[in-house]
Amino acid sequence: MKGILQNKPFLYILTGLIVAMIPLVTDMDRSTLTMLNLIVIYAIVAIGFNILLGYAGQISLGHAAFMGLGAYISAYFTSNFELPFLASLLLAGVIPMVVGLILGLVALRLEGHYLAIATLGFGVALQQTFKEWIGFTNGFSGARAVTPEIFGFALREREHFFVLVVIVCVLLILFAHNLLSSKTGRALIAMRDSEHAAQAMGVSLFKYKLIAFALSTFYAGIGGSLYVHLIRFTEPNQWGIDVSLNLLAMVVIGGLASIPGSVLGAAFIVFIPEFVKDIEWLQNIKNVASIFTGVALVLVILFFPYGLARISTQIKASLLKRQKQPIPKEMEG
Amino acid sequence: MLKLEKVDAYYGYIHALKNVSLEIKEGNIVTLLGANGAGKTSILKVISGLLKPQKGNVAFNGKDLTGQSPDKVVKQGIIQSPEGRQVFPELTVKENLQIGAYTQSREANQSLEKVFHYFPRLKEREKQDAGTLSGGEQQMLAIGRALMAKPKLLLLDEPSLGLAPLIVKDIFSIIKEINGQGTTVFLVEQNANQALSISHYAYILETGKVIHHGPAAEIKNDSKIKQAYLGGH
Amino acid sequence: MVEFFQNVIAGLETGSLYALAALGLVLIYRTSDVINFAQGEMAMFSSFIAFTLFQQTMSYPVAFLGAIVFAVVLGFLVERIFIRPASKATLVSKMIITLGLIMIFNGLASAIFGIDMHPFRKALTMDNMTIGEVIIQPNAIFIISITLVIMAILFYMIKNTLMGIAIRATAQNETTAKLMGVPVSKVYSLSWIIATVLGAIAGVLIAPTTNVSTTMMAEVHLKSFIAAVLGGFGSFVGPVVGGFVIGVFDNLVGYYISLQWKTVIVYALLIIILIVKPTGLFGKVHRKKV
Ligand SMILES: Nc1ncnc2c1ncn2[C@@H]1O[C@H](COP(=O)(O)OP(=O)(O)O)[C@@H](O)[C@H]1O
Ligand SMILES: [Mg+2]
Repeated sequence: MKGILQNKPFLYILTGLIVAMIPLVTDMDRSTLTMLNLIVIYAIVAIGFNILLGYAGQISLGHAAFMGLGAYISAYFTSNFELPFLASLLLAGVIPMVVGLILGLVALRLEGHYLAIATLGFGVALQQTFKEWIGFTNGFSGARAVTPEIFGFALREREHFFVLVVIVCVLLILFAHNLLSSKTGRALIAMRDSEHAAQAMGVSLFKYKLIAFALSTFYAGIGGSLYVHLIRFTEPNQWGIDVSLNLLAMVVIGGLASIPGSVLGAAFIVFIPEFVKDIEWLQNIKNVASIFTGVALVLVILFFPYGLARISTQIKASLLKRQKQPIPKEMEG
Repeated sequence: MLKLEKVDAYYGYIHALKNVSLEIKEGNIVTLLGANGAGKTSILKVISGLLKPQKGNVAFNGKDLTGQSPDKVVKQGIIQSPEGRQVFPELTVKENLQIGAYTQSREANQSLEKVFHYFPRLKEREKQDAGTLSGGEQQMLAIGRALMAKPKLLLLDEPSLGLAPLIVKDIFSIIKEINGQGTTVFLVEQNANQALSISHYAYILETGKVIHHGPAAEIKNDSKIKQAYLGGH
Repeated sequence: MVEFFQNVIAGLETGSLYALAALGLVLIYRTSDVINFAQGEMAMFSSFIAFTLFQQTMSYPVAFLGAIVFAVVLGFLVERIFIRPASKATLVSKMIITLGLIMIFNGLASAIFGIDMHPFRKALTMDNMTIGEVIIQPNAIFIISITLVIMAILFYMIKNTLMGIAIRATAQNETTAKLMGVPVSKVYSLSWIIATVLGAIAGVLIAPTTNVSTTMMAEVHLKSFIAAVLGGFGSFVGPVVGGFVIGVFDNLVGYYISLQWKTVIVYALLIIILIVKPTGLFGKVHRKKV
């Protein structure tokens, strides 16, 4: 029993099962259900983003746009071509991934900050495309998406949709987990610990950064597709830089290079506006969630570089500082 | 003039300096010898304020310098010509020298003449980007740049590194001349023979510890020490 | 031909502002090794200060100078409070901090000033002149000239004063600059202050076109990045030239090709630069030693 509980894939599946059941056995209102769905959807995107930021050390400011691309693709193909939902879901992941590969080929050859700049521009340019390419996106009027059907079963209720997103999330977590335990994963981990050392070991930084970026855009596209079929509507303003910044905040606050951290971070960011709503003296301040997130992001980077996922371990470590335990690289200095 | 007392310094968990004490007497050339990675540069970093020691202290003419910021140390009259020359490649020779005089107010021009007196080559190349100089010229510039601060104590980190023997000879004789004009010199070297021959006193460092010290002439003639620590010859 | 010149002048006008902002980005990058993604939001904040001061005093010079004074303080504080504590962190961590600052400033601005758009006056409101058939707005000439004057002063400082040499030395090799007695923390403060002021000037001058709002800097911000890449992050002159080029290109594309797709086309230009000459027109392949 103990052995099986230490088996991470098993734990992920078990947790997924339990989480997926919760809405089925309890009585939640629709907005809570929407929130739960959103948390899992953002968690998917955040896990992908975390492979990029946590392992490859690269920042993307265009992930909202990749997510939007997935959303529009899925909405378009299910509505206009009656493509089965699962096929559109896959397509919504693959097309952004191909776009990501091309962008990565250009920007990842260069120094660290160029991907951030290239994706900053990409985000703006793609959002502009969403506005102008009426034939595909229906412009500012927005695109509608159908209720997804899987093998003839329509996921009209949010409880049922939730089961779907949890399954997708667990599958993608297992994929990420297996990837990180493979040869590619070892290269990614070496790169996270020290780019110099990884390079000295013969790891091609460019190749693995590219893999990480492509994967992260795949996850973003999948998340976008799930989002649009949950909300059943999308319009260009949903995919601005603010969403990309929130994704970044999820990953950093949740914990770099940590899968559970990504999920935690997604929950944290989705909860903030809800949480703020209930505090009276904050209610009247517009956009207070954004201030709060920004402050949290800065504080985490400065003081808790491992994020929520390892906050307690880190506090313990700093209390025991006298005993010389190896501190991972980012904490030095 | 300068005293290090029981200095311990770390990089993260690497214990780079272990209980290092040394003294540099005014007017002397003191040399610090040791193999690669012994901690020589770290000692200079502690003196210059780039590396804060965990324990111990640094005193200059009786004043405590421990943990002072580098610009304060320079203002006290201690300046360093760092390992690998580190000239500013996209500044001209003259601008490099001007930066050396950053802490000096007005009389920079006077120092400029003095530097050009030691290193006439630099005057010829005054307007050239430092990155275009040869290795030897860059070393002259690095030393000249340090002299611009009118130091009481000049720290030189491996000035002979990677230079042709003839140029090394030149550089060492200029170091001697600078010392003759009244500047105390702390010379870090791996080139033991030549360093010892111009120095008054010497320290030998191994894996972060001072393992021997004495008048340069004695060490130069002590074949046992040379055999054991300085790679024979 | 008339339209062409008309667009070139308009391009030089907006290009001036891209140039100011791009120089700010590069100044900070080269001295303190930070890509300041929050520059646009900081400039937006300064513009709101100008707007508020103008409403109170009805004096444009007071509003303009007030924004500059505010920017001096803001640049100083941001460097001290947010950047300096992270001075030993990785480039990525510092970028993340400036991204967090975007959220903070954007949130604060909407909390304090609201999310409405406010029209703001031009610096010069005289009648237009015409040369041949080309209409010339005095305000455009003012913007282009003030940019050129600012650039001339800054480049003179960087080239000839001791502080300017110290800024360049710090940009090339920070550790050695410290060893030479350069108080590099002052250099950081100064470059953050100058950059924030440059951004604020760009903000106040673009405000008549964009209105004063929390999103007013989006365009200038993105284009200043493209200008910096085009000119090269390794050079101070490059981003300025890049700014003017992007400004003119942007206007010509908008007029002759498509207004709607202009942003996408200018972005395509960025990608082409990254493929063909990633170090930029004036860039040198050399990285700062820390
Ligand atoms: N920046 C640094 N980070 C970590 N370790 C360092 C650093 N600089 C030097 N060291 C280590 O400290 C020790 C002493 O180095 P150093 O003072 O440069 O020696 P030397 O100048 O005698 O060659 C070496 O083991 C070296 O690896
Ligand atoms: Mg050394």
